[in-house]
Amino acid sequence: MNLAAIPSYFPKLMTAFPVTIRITVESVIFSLLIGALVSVGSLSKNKAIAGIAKGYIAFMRGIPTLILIFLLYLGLPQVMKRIGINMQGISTITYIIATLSLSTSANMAEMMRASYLAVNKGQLEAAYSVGMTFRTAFRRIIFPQAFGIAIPTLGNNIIMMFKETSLAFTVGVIDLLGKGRAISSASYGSNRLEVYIACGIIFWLCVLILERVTKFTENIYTRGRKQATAK
Amino acid sequence: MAKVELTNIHKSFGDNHILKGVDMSIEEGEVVVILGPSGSGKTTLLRTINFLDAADEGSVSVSGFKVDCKKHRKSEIIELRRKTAMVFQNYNLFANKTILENVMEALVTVKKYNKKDAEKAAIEILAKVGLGEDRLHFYPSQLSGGQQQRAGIARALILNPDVILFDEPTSALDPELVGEVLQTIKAVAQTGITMIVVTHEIAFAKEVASRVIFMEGGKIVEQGPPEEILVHPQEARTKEFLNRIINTNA
Amino acid sequence: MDFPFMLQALPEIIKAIPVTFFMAVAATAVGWILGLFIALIRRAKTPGISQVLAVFVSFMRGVPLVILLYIAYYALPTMIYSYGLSIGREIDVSGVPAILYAITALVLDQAAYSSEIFRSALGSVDEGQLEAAYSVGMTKTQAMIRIILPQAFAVAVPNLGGLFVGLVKGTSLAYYVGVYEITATAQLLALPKLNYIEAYIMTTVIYEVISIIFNKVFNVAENSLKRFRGVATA
Repeated sequence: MNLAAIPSYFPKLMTAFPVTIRITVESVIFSLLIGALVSVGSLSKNKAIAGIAKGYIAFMRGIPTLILIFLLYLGLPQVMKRIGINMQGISTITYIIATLSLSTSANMAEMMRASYLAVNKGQLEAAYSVGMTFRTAFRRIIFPQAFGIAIPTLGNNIIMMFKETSLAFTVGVIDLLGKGRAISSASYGSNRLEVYIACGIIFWLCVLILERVTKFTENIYTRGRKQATAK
Repeated sequence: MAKVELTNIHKSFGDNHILKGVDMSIEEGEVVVILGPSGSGKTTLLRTINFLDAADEGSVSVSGFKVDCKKHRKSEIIELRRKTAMVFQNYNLFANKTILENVMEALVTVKKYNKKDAEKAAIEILAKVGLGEDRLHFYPSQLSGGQQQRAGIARALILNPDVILFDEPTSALDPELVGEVLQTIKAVAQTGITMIVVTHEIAFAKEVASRVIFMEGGKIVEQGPPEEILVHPQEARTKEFLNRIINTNA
Repeated sequence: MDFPFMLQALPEIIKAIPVTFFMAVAATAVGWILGLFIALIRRAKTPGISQVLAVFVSFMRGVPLVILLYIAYYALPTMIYSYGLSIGREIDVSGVPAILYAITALVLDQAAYSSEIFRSALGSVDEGQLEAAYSVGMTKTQAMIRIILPQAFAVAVPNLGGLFVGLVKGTSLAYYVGVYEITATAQLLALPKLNYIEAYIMTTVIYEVISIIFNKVFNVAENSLKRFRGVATA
């Protein structure tokens, strides 16, 4: 093994970095949107809706991401074909974004639910007592507090998902790890260990940055506020 | 020979000089109550006796076993602790053990009793502090503060220590529960065991103490029999403190 | 749906469950013990080693598991081989089963994550508990084993449960270093006639059942330990 050669792979690997970023950003956005819907459902007074939402969360938390990728990428087109829909035009990156959005949406939903419930009940009552509607109370009183509570979990969820973008290679997307595999097979595997270590280091550094950003955001956001304690 | 002997105890936390040379000598069977405003160092002094806070200077001696605070071995501290027992402000009952197990614990692990004997002794002593069979298998979090503190007293008593250290044993309690705990401590005092009690309960001091020590600013200001210190204090600082306490209590 | 295929494949996939479990249990048994020691050493702030462990934990948490598996898969044979030479033996590395590499990566992963759980659990035990143990004359070791660790463990159980279920899911990645666990077996069976949808539905059901069972187990454990979580201080 040639440890000194590891840094020499960084530039080539980084050419695929925009793909990893794109997967991460789009998956975060979609997972938040789906998560919001599911969390509203899970808080619903309608038992059936709450049950479906909770079932969805449990299901997504039980299935390995790899299996979800295979279900969507290999299984879904087969099913669709049988009912006459052709999915061949869909790009591979779409499958990976769909997978990560779905699997992370469960964590996002749980995060939103827990943060909402962690805001003191009296806050809503106080907002009602001064004549606010639920909408106004949520926007001006509940959400700002719940968001402060959610920041560490949000950061953690994004980090977990960011690491899972490394599974994009399984459907042939050339992200960081996909690029790494390409580099190593171009040299018939002779340098694969160095390349994978280089990939690992890039992921590690990104995670360190994301952790910093999370802490920083939390400090900025909660400065001067009395932090409600999260569960 | 004095039961507890403290010589020239100094203790700082960072730049904060809490104890500034305290000497104290306590005879067997004495019940010493230490009074003083918060920040006077009375709790820290108590904690230097069993080395929960090791003093920076001076020496501690219990029943003739003397430990130098500057240089001490781990084994010395453990031996010293085995001659003492402590009752804590927040009870500090072992949260993962039932009341019975809490009281048995040290008998089994420290004194190497077999379980049966330990259990018998624990049940007996728990009965003495008013915790009957129906409470034995409760966990601390399932009991009231007063019950927890009485179990804490039983845990200390069962070790048959040379001295029991009470660190504000009633200040975490709801007012209506203070009485039952003070009653228990009074009963312990009547058995003749040596006790050092840090407290704010003046009435209790008057009734139970054989000696009252008033501390302020990390030093002993004055000491003597309760009727002397509490009724006719000599020092202005003691008078001021007592006035404040009596006024806030009234 | 190709039901004959499913009937034929299901027993084969079920036969692979022990491989998945073996990886998960081995990684848990070794990884969590390492994690506990890492937590204790980092809490004791032993200079030097404590910082090294902090970097180790950070790295293991930063690198995606699949990359960790690749690194273990390609690095370990060379390491074993050169270790063999250093003790004067030529070890046939090709004879080492792939599952060993996978378990090594999972152990390191679990050690890092569990150490963080143990660290925060130890931190959550009230300082007064240690003082009380000292006050009745216990040694540090007695206090740790009988008072502090049981309480820390009770606090850690829910998070350890999540970690374990995540680990079982993570073992599916061992497929990429050639371990024939549940996922790899399903993939292999599906290939000849492209029975993907059937194969992955069965796999999904198996993983879901496993996670339901373990969530339940850890829930029961959590509830039965609840009564001595945290002291009720006034």
